[in-house]
Amino acid sequence: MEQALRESEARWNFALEGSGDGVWDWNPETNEVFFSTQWKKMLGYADHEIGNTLSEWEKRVHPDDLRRCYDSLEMHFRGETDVYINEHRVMCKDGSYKWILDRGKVVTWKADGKPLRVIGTHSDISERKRYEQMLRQGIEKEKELGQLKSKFISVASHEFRTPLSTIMATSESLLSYRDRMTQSQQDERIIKIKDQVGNLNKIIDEVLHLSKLQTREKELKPEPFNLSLLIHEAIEESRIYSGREVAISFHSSPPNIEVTLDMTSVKRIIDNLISNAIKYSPPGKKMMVGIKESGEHVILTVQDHGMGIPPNELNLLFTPFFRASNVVNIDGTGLGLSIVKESVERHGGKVSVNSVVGEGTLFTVILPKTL
Amino acid sequence: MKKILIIEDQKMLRDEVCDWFIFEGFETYSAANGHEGLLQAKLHLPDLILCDIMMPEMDGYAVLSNLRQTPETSPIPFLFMTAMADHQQVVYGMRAGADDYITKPFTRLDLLNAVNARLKR
Repeated sequence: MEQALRESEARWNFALEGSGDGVWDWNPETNEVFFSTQWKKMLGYADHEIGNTLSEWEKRVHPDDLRRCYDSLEMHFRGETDVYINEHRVMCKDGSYKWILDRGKVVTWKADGKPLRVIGTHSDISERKRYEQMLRQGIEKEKELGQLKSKFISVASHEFRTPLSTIMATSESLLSYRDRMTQSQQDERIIKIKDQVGNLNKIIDEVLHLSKLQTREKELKPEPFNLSLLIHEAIEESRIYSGREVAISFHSSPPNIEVTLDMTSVKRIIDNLISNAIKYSPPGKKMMVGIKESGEHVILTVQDHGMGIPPNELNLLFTPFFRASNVVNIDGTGLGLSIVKESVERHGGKVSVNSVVGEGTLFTVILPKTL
Repeated sequence: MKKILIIEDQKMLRDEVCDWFIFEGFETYSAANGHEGLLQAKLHLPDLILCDIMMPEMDGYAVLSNLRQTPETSPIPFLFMTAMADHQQVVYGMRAGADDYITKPFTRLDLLNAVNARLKR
Protein backbone atom coordinates (compact mmCIF):
# COMPACT_ATOMS: atom_id res chain seq x y z
CA MET A 1 0.00 0.00 0.00
CA GLU A 2 2.80 2.43 1.03
CA GLN A 3 4.80 1.36 -2.03
CA ALA A 4 1.81 2.06 -4.32
CA LEU A 5 1.34 5.46 -2.69
CA ARG A 6 5.01 6.39 -3.22
CA GLU A 7 4.85 5.27 -6.85
CA SER A 8 1.70 7.30 -7.42
CA GLU A 9 3.32 10.38 -5.86
CA ALA A 10 6.44 9.89 -7.98
CA ARG A 11 4.29 9.67 -11.14
CA TRP A 12 2.40 12.79 -10.09
CA ASN A 13 5.64 14.75 -9.47
CA PHE A 14 7.11 13.53 -12.75
CA ALA A 15 4.01 14.63 -14.67
CA LEU A 16 4.06 18.07 -13.06
CA GLU A 17 7.79 18.60 -13.58
CA GLY A 18 7.35 17.63 -17.20
CA SER A 19 4.47 20.03 -17.78
CA GLY A 20 6.36 22.87 -16.10
CA ASP A 21 3.24 23.77 -14.10
CA GLY A 22 3.25 24.69 -10.44
CA VAL A 23 0.85 23.20 -7.91
CA TRP A 24 -0.96 24.76 -4.99
CA ASP A 25 -2.99 23.17 -2.25
CA TRP A 26 -5.11 25.54 -0.18
CA ASN A 27 -7.09 25.20 3.01
CA PRO A 28 -9.61 28.08 2.90
CA GLU A 29 -10.35 27.68 6.61
CA THR A 30 -6.81 28.31 7.85
CA ASN A 31 -5.59 30.02 4.66
CA GLU A 32 -2.58 27.78 4.68
CA VAL A 33 -1.29 26.98 1.21
CA PHE A 34 1.26 24.50 -0.05
CA PHE A 35 3.13 25.99 -3.04
CA SER A 36 5.18 23.49 -5.03
CA THR A 37 8.85 24.10 -5.82
CA GLN A 38 7.93 24.66 -9.47
CA TRP A 39 5.24 27.20 -8.46
CA LYS A 40 7.94 29.25 -6.72
CA LYS A 41 10.56 28.65 -9.39
CA MET A 42 8.20 29.94 -12.07
CA LEU A 43 8.27 33.32 -10.30
CA GLY A 44 12.03 33.23 -9.76
CA TYR A 45 12.04 32.16 -6.10
CA ALA A 46 13.91 29.40 -4.28
CA ASP A 47 11.84 26.99 -2.18
CA HIS A 48 12.59 28.68 1.16
CA GLU A 49 11.78 32.22 -0.07
CA ILE A 50 8.01 31.86 -0.07
CA GLY A 51 5.96 30.94 2.97
CA ASN A 52 2.82 28.86 3.28
CA THR A 53 0.04 31.41 3.53
CA LEU A 54 -2.49 32.70 1.01
CA SER A 55 -1.10 36.23 1.41
CA GLU A 56 2.11 35.10 -0.36
CA TRP A 57 0.04 34.64 -3.51
CA GLU A 58 -2.38 37.49 -2.91
CA LYS A 59 0.29 40.18 -2.53
CA ARG A 60 1.90 39.15 -5.80
CA VAL A 61 -1.25 39.21 -7.95
CA HIS A 62 -1.58 42.39 -10.00
CA PRO A 63 -3.97 44.72 -8.11
CA ASP A 64 -6.13 45.12 -11.22
CA ASP A 65 -6.60 41.33 -11.50
CA LEU A 66 -7.19 40.27 -7.88
CA ARG A 67 -10.92 41.06 -7.79
CA ARG A 68 -11.54 38.90 -10.86
CA CYS A 69 -9.60 36.00 -9.24
CA TYR A 70 -11.84 36.04 -6.19
CA ASP A 71 -14.95 36.39 -8.35
CA SER A 72 -13.96 33.23 -10.24
CA LEU A 73 -13.25 31.40 -6.99
CA GLU A 74 -16.59 32.47 -5.51
CA MET A 75 -18.43 31.23 -8.59
CA HIS A 76 -16.77 27.84 -8.23
CA PHE A 77 -17.50 27.72 -4.49
CA ARG A 78 -21.17 28.47 -5.20
CA GLY A 79 -21.20 25.54 -7.62
CA GLU A 80 -21.70 27.71 -10.69
CA THR A 81 -18.56 26.34 -12.35
CA ASP A 82 -17.07 22.85 -12.31
CA VAL A 83 -13.57 24.21 -11.96
CA TYR A 84 -12.01 27.52 -10.98
CA ILE A 85 -10.22 29.08 -13.95
CA ASN A 86 -8.64 32.50 -14.08
CA GLU A 87 -5.95 34.29 -16.08
CA HIS A 88 -4.08 36.95 -14.16
CA ARG A 89 -0.71 38.59 -13.71
CA VAL A 90 1.60 37.60 -10.85
CA MET A 91 4.70 39.52 -9.83
CA CYS A 92 8.06 37.73 -10.09
CA LYS A 93 11.05 38.21 -7.82
CA ASP A 94 12.63 40.69 -10.28
CA GLY A 95 9.49 42.88 -10.22
CA SER A 96 8.24 41.87 -13.67
CA TYR A 97 4.83 40.28 -14.17
CA LYS A 98 4.02 36.89 -15.66
CA TRP A 99 0.64 35.94 -17.05
CA ILE A 100 -0.62 32.88 -15.18
CA LEU A 101 -3.41 30.46 -16.03
CA ASP A 102 -4.72 29.36 -12.65
CA ARG A 103 -6.94 26.28 -12.53
CA GLY A 104 -8.30 24.58 -9.42
CA LYS A 105 -11.07 22.53 -7.90
CA VAL A 106 -12.54 21.96 -4.46
CA VAL A 107 -11.64 18.39 -3.51
CA THR A 108 -13.05 18.38 0.04
CA TRP A 109 -16.21 20.09 1.25
CA LYS A 110 -17.26 20.73 4.84
CA ALA A 111 -20.62 19.57 6.13
CA ASP A 112 -21.93 23.16 5.96
CA GLY A 113 -21.13 23.28 2.21
CA LYS A 114 -18.02 25.42 2.55
CA PRO A 115 -14.77 24.39 0.81
CA LEU A 116 -12.14 22.74 2.98
CA ARG A 117 -9.46 21.86 0.47
CA VAL A 118 -8.81 23.32 -2.96
CA ILE A 119 -6.06 22.04 -5.23
CA GLY A 120 -4.89 23.67 -8.43
CA THR A 121 -2.18 24.29 -10.98
CA HIS A 122 -0.31 27.40 -12.06
CA SER A 123 0.74 27.63 -15.73
CA ASP A 124 2.92 30.32 -17.24
CA ILE A 125 1.02 31.67 -20.27
CA SER A 126 3.06 34.87 -20.76
CA GLU A 127 4.28 33.76 -24.17
CA ARG A 128 0.75 32.95 -25.33
CA LYS A 129 -0.46 36.35 -24.05
CA ARG A 130 2.38 38.05 -25.92
CA TYR A 131 1.35 36.34 -29.16
CA GLU A 132 -2.30 37.21 -28.55
CA GLN A 133 -1.32 40.83 -28.02
CA MET A 134 0.77 40.80 -31.22
CA LEU A 135 -2.10 39.22 -33.11
CA ARG A 136 -4.55 41.82 -31.79
CA GLN A 137 -2.18 44.62 -32.75
CA GLY A 138 -1.68 43.01 -36.16
CA ILE A 139 -5.43 42.80 -36.77
CA GLU A 140 -5.85 46.40 -35.59
CA LYS A 141 -3.03 47.54 -37.89
CA GLU A 142 -4.51 45.59 -40.81
CA LYS A 143 -7.89 47.23 -40.19
CA GLU A 144 -6.29 50.65 -40.01
CA LEU A 145 -4.38 50.01 -43.25
CA GLY A 146 -7.58 48.83 -44.94
CA GLN A 147 -9.36 52.04 -43.97
CA LEU A 148 -6.41 54.14 -45.11
CA LYS A 149 -6.32 52.25 -48.39
CA SER A 150 -10.00 52.82 -49.17
CA LYS A 151 -9.72 56.49 -48.24
CA PHE A 152 -6.64 56.74 -50.45
CA ILE A 153 -8.44 55.08 -53.37
CA SER A 154 -11.43 57.37 -52.96
CA VAL A 155 -9.30 60.53 -52.90
CA ALA A 156 -6.99 59.24 -55.66
CA SER A 157 -9.91 58.49 -57.98
CA HIS A 158 -11.10 62.07 -57.49
CA GLU A 159 -7.65 63.39 -58.33
CA PHE A 160 -7.46 61.23 -61.47
CA ARG A 161 -10.87 62.33 -62.65
CA THR A 162 -9.95 66.01 -62.52
CA PRO A 163 -7.30 65.94 -65.29
CA LEU A 164 -9.34 63.30 -67.11
CA SER A 165 -12.35 65.63 -67.12
CA THR A 166 -10.25 68.41 -68.61
CA ILE A 167 -8.84 66.08 -71.28
CA MET A 168 -12.33 64.83 -72.12
CA ALA A 169 -13.85 68.32 -72.21
CA THR A 170 -11.03 69.81 -74.30
CA SER A 171 -10.97 67.00 -76.84
CA GLU A 172 -14.77 67.21 -77.16
CA SER A 173 -14.46 70.94 -77.84
CA LEU A 174 -11.98 70.24 -80.62
CA LEU A 175 -14.17 67.52 -82.10
CA SER A 176 -17.38 69.55 -82.06
CA TYR A 177 -16.31 73.14 -82.55
CA ARG A 178 -12.91 73.19 -84.25
CA ASP A 179 -14.33 74.66 -87.47
CA ARG A 180 -15.45 77.66 -85.42
CA MET A 181 -12.06 78.08 -83.69
CA THR A 182 -8.99 79.98 -84.84
CA GLN A 183 -5.75 78.05 -85.33
CA SER A 184 -4.35 79.43 -82.08
CA GLN A 185 -7.51 78.42 -80.14
CA GLN A 186 -7.06 74.89 -81.49
CA ASP A 187 -3.34 74.83 -80.62
CA GLU A 188 -4.10 76.10 -77.14
CA ARG A 189 -6.40 73.14 -76.56
CA ILE A 190 -3.94 70.59 -77.92
CA ILE A 191 -1.30 71.96 -75.52
CA LYS A 192 -3.84 71.79 -72.68
CA ILE A 193 -4.47 68.10 -73.40
CA LYS A 194 -0.73 67.41 -73.54
CA ASP A 195 -0.18 69.19 -70.19
CA GLN A 196 -2.98 67.24 -68.53
CA VAL A 197 -1.60 63.94 -69.81
CA GLY A 198 1.75 64.97 -68.31
CA ASN A 199 -0.01 65.83 -65.08
CA LEU A 200 -1.74 62.44 -64.97
CA ASN A 201 1.57 60.75 -65.61
CA LYS A 202 3.11 62.63 -62.69
CA ILE A 203 0.25 61.66 -60.37
CA ILE A 204 0.60 57.98 -61.35
CA ASP A 205 4.36 58.11 -60.84
CA GLU A 206 4.02 59.71 -57.40
CA VAL A 207 1.18 57.43 -56.30
CA LEU A 208 3.29 54.39 -57.21
CA HIS A 209 6.34 55.80 -55.47
CA LEU A 210 4.37 56.60 -52.31
CA SER A 211 2.70 53.20 -52.32
CA LYS A 212 6.07 51.44 -52.66
CA LEU A 213 7.40 53.45 -49.72
CA GLN A 214 4.36 52.71 -47.57
CA THR A 215 4.25 48.99 -48.32
CA ARG A 216 8.04 48.82 -47.96
CA GLU A 217 8.25 47.38 -51.45
CA LYS A 218 10.87 50.02 -52.11
CA GLU A 219 14.01 48.97 -50.29
CA LEU A 220 16.32 51.69 -49.09
CA LYS A 221 19.87 51.27 -50.36
CA PRO A 222 22.28 53.17 -48.13
CA GLU A 223 25.42 54.50 -49.79
CA PRO A 224 28.00 57.08 -48.67
CA PHE A 225 27.69 60.51 -50.29
CA ASN A 226 28.34 64.19 -49.68
CA LEU A 227 24.97 65.61 -48.55
CA SER A 228 26.12 69.24 -48.73
CA LEU A 229 27.08 68.76 -52.38
CA LEU A 230 23.80 66.99 -53.18
CA ILE A 231 21.80 69.91 -51.75
CA HIS A 232 23.95 72.41 -53.63
CA GLU A 233 23.30 70.55 -56.92
CA ALA A 234 19.56 70.31 -56.17
CA ILE A 235 19.40 74.08 -55.68
CA GLU A 236 21.20 74.68 -58.98
CA GLU A 237 18.85 72.28 -60.83
CA SER A 238 15.78 73.95 -59.32
CA ARG A 239 17.00 77.35 -60.54
CA ILE A 240 17.10 75.96 -64.09
CA TYR A 241 13.84 73.97 -64.04
CA SER A 242 11.66 76.49 -62.21
CA GLY A 243 12.25 79.01 -65.00
CA ARG A 244 11.97 81.77 -62.40
CA GLU A 245 14.27 84.26 -60.80
CA VAL A 246 15.06 82.48 -57.54
CA ALA A 247 17.20 83.83 -54.72
CA ILE A 248 18.36 80.91 -52.62
CA SER A 249 21.06 81.08 -49.98
CA PHE A 250 22.68 77.85 -48.82
CA HIS A 251 24.69 77.19 -45.71
CA SER A 252 26.31 73.91 -44.68
CA SER A 253 27.94 73.45 -41.30
CA PRO A 254 30.52 71.92 -41.60
CA PRO A 255 30.97 72.70 -45.31
CA ASN A 256 31.05 69.04 -46.34
CA ILE A 257 28.73 66.62 -44.55
CA GLU A 258 29.18 62.96 -45.39
CA VAL A 259 26.23 60.62 -44.79
CA THR A 260 25.32 57.01 -45.58
CA LEU A 261 21.67 57.06 -46.62
CA ASP A 262 19.48 56.16 -49.60
CA MET A 263 20.65 58.90 -51.96
CA THR A 264 17.67 58.72 -54.35
CA SER A 265 15.17 59.15 -51.50
CA VAL A 266 17.16 61.96 -49.89
CA LYS A 267 17.37 63.74 -53.26
CA ARG A 268 13.60 63.42 -53.62
CA ILE A 269 13.08 64.92 -50.13
CA ILE A 270 15.32 67.88 -50.98
CA ASP A 271 13.82 68.40 -54.46
CA ASN A 272 10.26 68.39 -53.11
CA LEU A 273 10.96 70.87 -50.32
CA ILE A 274 12.92 73.26 -52.54
CA SER A 275 10.47 73.13 -55.46
CA ASN A 276 7.57 73.78 -53.05
CA ALA A 277 9.38 76.75 -51.54
CA ILE A 278 9.95 78.19 -55.02
CA LYS A 279 6.43 77.43 -56.21
CA TYR A 280 4.69 79.07 -53.28
CA SER A 281 6.93 82.15 -53.02
CA PRO A 282 6.48 85.38 -54.96
CA PRO A 283 9.27 85.90 -57.54
CA GLY A 284 12.38 87.53 -56.11
CA LYS A 285 11.65 86.54 -52.48
CA LYS A 286 14.70 85.05 -50.79
CA MET A 287 14.78 81.43 -49.63
CA MET A 288 17.23 79.85 -47.22
CA VAL A 289 18.40 76.26 -47.23
CA GLY A 290 20.60 74.99 -44.43
CA ILE A 291 22.19 71.73 -43.36
CA LYS A 292 24.06 71.09 -40.16
CA GLU A 293 25.43 68.20 -38.16
CA SER A 294 24.02 67.46 -34.72
CA GLY A 295 25.63 64.43 -33.08
CA GLU A 296 24.59 61.34 -35.00
CA HIS A 297 22.00 63.33 -36.99
CA VAL A 298 21.82 65.97 -39.68
CA ILE A 299 19.26 68.78 -39.67
CA LEU A 300 17.99 70.15 -42.99
CA THR A 301 15.99 73.37 -43.01
CA VAL A 302 14.18 74.96 -45.94
CA GLN A 303 12.78 78.41 -45.20
CA ASP A 304 10.75 80.51 -47.60
CA HIS A 305 9.02 83.88 -47.36
CA GLY A 306 6.04 82.78 -49.39
CA MET A 307 2.30 82.71 -48.82
CA GLY A 308 2.40 80.38 -45.78
CA ILE A 309 -0.06 77.67 -44.79
CA PRO A 310 -3.34 78.38 -42.91
CA PRO A 311 -2.88 77.16 -39.28
CA ASN A 312 -5.95 74.89 -39.32
CA GLU A 313 -4.54 73.03 -42.34
CA LEU A 314 -1.03 72.38 -40.99
CA ASN A 315 -1.96 68.99 -39.52
CA LEU A 316 -3.30 67.83 -42.90
CA LEU A 317 -0.25 68.92 -44.84
CA PHE A 318 1.36 65.49 -45.11
CA THR A 319 -1.88 63.71 -46.06
CA PRO A 320 -1.83 62.32 -49.62
CA PHE A 321 -3.53 64.63 -52.15
CA PHE A 322 -4.14 67.35 -49.57
CA ARG A 323 -3.57 70.84 -50.94
CA ALA A 324 -3.82 73.96 -48.82
CA SER A 325 -6.84 76.12 -49.60
CA ASN A 326 -4.66 79.07 -50.65
CA VAL A 327 -2.77 77.14 -53.37
CA VAL A 328 -5.56 75.49 -55.38
CA ASN A 329 -4.75 77.58 -58.42
CA ILE A 330 -1.08 76.57 -58.38
CA ASP A 331 -0.21 73.28 -60.12
CA GLY A 332 0.59 70.37 -57.85
CA THR A 333 -0.41 66.78 -57.15
CA GLY A 334 -0.67 67.05 -53.35
CA LEU A 335 1.62 64.04 -53.05
CA GLY A 336 5.07 65.62 -52.68
CA LEU A 337 4.93 66.20 -48.93
CA SER A 338 3.47 62.73 -48.28
CA ILE A 339 6.48 61.33 -50.10
CA VAL A 340 8.79 63.55 -48.05
CA LYS A 341 7.25 62.37 -44.77
CA GLU A 342 7.27 58.70 -45.75
CA SER A 343 10.88 58.87 -47.00
CA VAL A 344 12.06 60.70 -43.87
CA GLU A 345 10.30 58.22 -41.58
CA ARG A 346 11.65 55.23 -43.50
CA HIS A 347 15.09 56.62 -42.65
CA GLY A 348 14.09 56.84 -38.97
CA GLY A 349 13.93 60.63 -39.15
CA LYS A 350 11.34 63.32 -38.48
CA VAL A 351 9.88 66.18 -40.48
CA SER A 352 8.13 69.21 -39.01
CA VAL A 353 6.69 72.45 -40.30
CA ASN A 354 6.19 75.96 -38.94
CA SER A 355 4.26 78.47 -40.97
CA VAL A 356 2.65 81.89 -40.78
CA VAL A 357 0.24 82.97 -43.52
CA GLY A 358 1.72 85.84 -45.49
CA GLU A 359 5.14 85.48 -43.87
CA GLY A 360 6.43 82.09 -44.96
CA THR A 361 7.12 78.49 -44.06
CA LEU A 362 9.97 76.60 -42.44
CA PHE A 363 10.39 72.86 -42.98
CA THR A 364 12.81 71.02 -40.69
CA VAL A 365 13.99 67.50 -41.49
CA ILE A 366 16.06 65.47 -39.04
CA LEU A 367 17.80 62.43 -40.50
CA PRO A 368 20.31 59.99 -39.02
CA LYS A 369 23.78 60.30 -40.58
CA THR A 370 23.89 56.58 -41.18
CA LEU A 371 21.00 54.29 -42.04
CA MET B 1 -30.77 83.81 -74.75
CA LYS B 2 -30.65 81.41 -71.77
CA LYS B 3 -28.24 82.32 -68.97
CA ILE B 4 -26.11 79.68 -67.31
CA LEU B 5 -23.74 79.96 -64.34
CA ILE B 6 -20.82 77.53 -63.99
CA ILE B 7 -19.21 77.24 -60.54
CA GLU B 8 -16.04 75.15 -60.78
CA ASP B 9 -12.65 75.61 -59.10
CA GLN B 10 -10.64 73.89 -61.86
CA LYS B 11 -9.97 76.72 -64.28
CA MET B 12 -9.26 74.59 -67.36
CA LEU B 13 -12.48 72.60 -67.03
CA ARG B 14 -14.50 75.71 -66.17
CA ASP B 15 -13.24 77.55 -69.27
CA GLU B 16 -13.93 74.59 -71.53
CA VAL B 17 -17.48 74.04 -70.26
CA CYS B 18 -18.17 77.78 -70.61
CA ASP B 19 -16.98 77.61 -74.22
CA TRP B 20 -19.35 74.70 -74.96
CA PHE B 21 -22.32 76.76 -73.82
CA ILE B 22 -21.12 79.87 -75.68
CA PHE B 23 -20.84 77.80 -78.88
CA GLU B 24 -24.35 76.47 -78.18
CA GLY B 25 -25.74 79.99 -77.92
CA PHE B 26 -25.98 80.45 -74.16
CA GLU B 27 -25.02 83.51 -72.17
CA THR B 28 -22.50 82.23 -69.60
CA TYR B 29 -21.19 83.37 -66.24
CA SER B 30 -18.53 81.59 -64.28
CA ALA B 31 -17.16 81.49 -60.76
CA ALA B 32 -14.02 79.87 -59.34
CA ASN B 33 -15.40 79.21 -55.85
CA GLY B 34 -18.58 79.00 -53.83
CA HIS B 35 -18.54 82.55 -52.50
CA GLU B 36 -18.07 84.04 -55.96
CA GLY B 37 -20.75 81.67 -57.30
CA LEU B 38 -23.31 82.93 -54.78
CA LEU B 39 -22.60 86.56 -55.73
CA GLN B 40 -22.92 85.80 -59.45
CA ALA B 41 -26.14 83.86 -58.93
CA LYS B 42 -27.76 86.69 -56.98
CA LEU B 43 -26.50 89.32 -59.43
CA HIS B 44 -27.45 87.63 -62.74
CA LEU B 45 -30.28 85.28 -61.67
CA PRO B 46 -29.32 82.64 -64.29
CA ASP B 47 -31.76 80.13 -65.79
CA LEU B 48 -29.63 77.23 -64.53
CA ILE B 49 -26.61 76.66 -62.31
CA LEU B 50 -23.91 74.01 -62.78
CA CYS B 51 -21.83 73.57 -59.66
CA ASP B 52 -18.89 71.41 -58.56
CA ILE B 53 -19.18 69.72 -55.14
CA MET B 54 -15.63 69.59 -53.82
CA MET B 55 -14.34 73.14 -53.68
CA PRO B 56 -12.16 74.81 -51.06
CA GLU B 57 -13.69 77.14 -48.47
CA MET B 58 -17.33 76.73 -49.52
CA ASP B 59 -18.38 73.42 -51.07
CA GLY B 60 -21.24 72.83 -53.51
CA TYR B 61 -23.66 71.69 -50.79
CA ALA B 62 -23.22 75.01 -48.94
CA VAL B 63 -23.78 76.96 -52.19
CA LEU B 64 -26.99 75.04 -52.86
CA SER B 65 -28.26 75.46 -49.33
CA ASN B 66 -27.65 79.21 -49.43
CA LEU B 67 -29.36 79.59 -52.82
CA ARG B 68 -32.38 77.60 -51.68
CA GLN B 69 -32.80 79.87 -48.67
CA THR B 70 -32.85 83.01 -50.82
CA PRO B 71 -36.31 83.61 -52.42
CA GLU B 72 -34.93 85.03 -55.71
CA THR B 73 -32.51 82.14 -56.29
CA SER B 74 -34.43 79.25 -54.73
CA PRO B 75 -36.33 78.21 -57.92
CA ILE B 76 -33.23 78.17 -60.16
CA PRO B 77 -32.55 74.63 -61.46
CA PHE B 78 -29.32 73.40 -59.88
CA LEU B 79 -27.10 70.58 -61.23
CA PHE B 80 -24.07 69.17 -59.48
CA MET B 81 -20.97 68.31 -61.51
CA THR B 82 -19.08 65.88 -59.35
CA ALA B 83 -15.97 63.75 -59.49
CA MET B 84 -17.40 61.79 -56.60
CA ALA B 85 -19.01 58.75 -58.12
CA ASP B 86 -19.70 57.57 -54.60
CA HIS B 87 -23.40 56.74 -54.36
CA GLN B 88 -23.66 58.19 -50.85
CA GLN B 89 -22.40 61.58 -52.01
CA VAL B 90 -24.85 61.62 -54.88
CA VAL B 91 -27.74 60.73 -52.55
CA TYR B 92 -26.60 63.46 -50.17
CA GLY B 93 -26.51 65.97 -53.04
CA MET B 94 -29.99 65.08 -54.24
CA ARG B 95 -31.39 65.21 -50.71
CA ALA B 96 -29.83 68.64 -50.33
CA GLY B 97 -32.19 69.73 -53.11
CA ALA B 98 -30.18 69.43 -56.34
CA ASP B 99 -32.27 68.84 -59.47
CA ASP B 100 -29.76 66.51 -61.08
CA TYR B 101 -26.10 65.58 -61.09
CA ILE B 102 -23.50 64.63 -63.66
CA THR B 103 -20.38 62.62 -62.92
CA LYS B 104 -16.94 63.73 -64.09
CA PRO B 105 -15.51 63.04 -66.57
CA PHE B 106 -18.64 63.75 -68.61
CA THR B 107 -19.15 64.06 -72.36
CA ARG B 108 -20.34 67.26 -73.97
CA LEU B 109 -23.57 65.58 -75.08
CA ASP B 110 -24.32 64.20 -71.61
CA LEU B 111 -23.95 67.66 -70.11
CA LEU B 112 -25.89 69.46 -72.83
CA ASN B 113 -28.70 66.88 -72.65
CA ALA B 114 -28.92 67.17 -68.86
CA VAL B 115 -29.03 70.96 -69.04
CA ASN B 116 -31.53 71.14 -71.90
CA ALA B 117 -33.81 68.57 -70.27
CA ARG B 118 -33.91 70.65 -67.11
CA LEU B 119 -34.48 73.92 -68.97
CA LYS B 120 -37.44 72.49 -70.92
CA ARG B 121 -39.35 71.65 -67.69
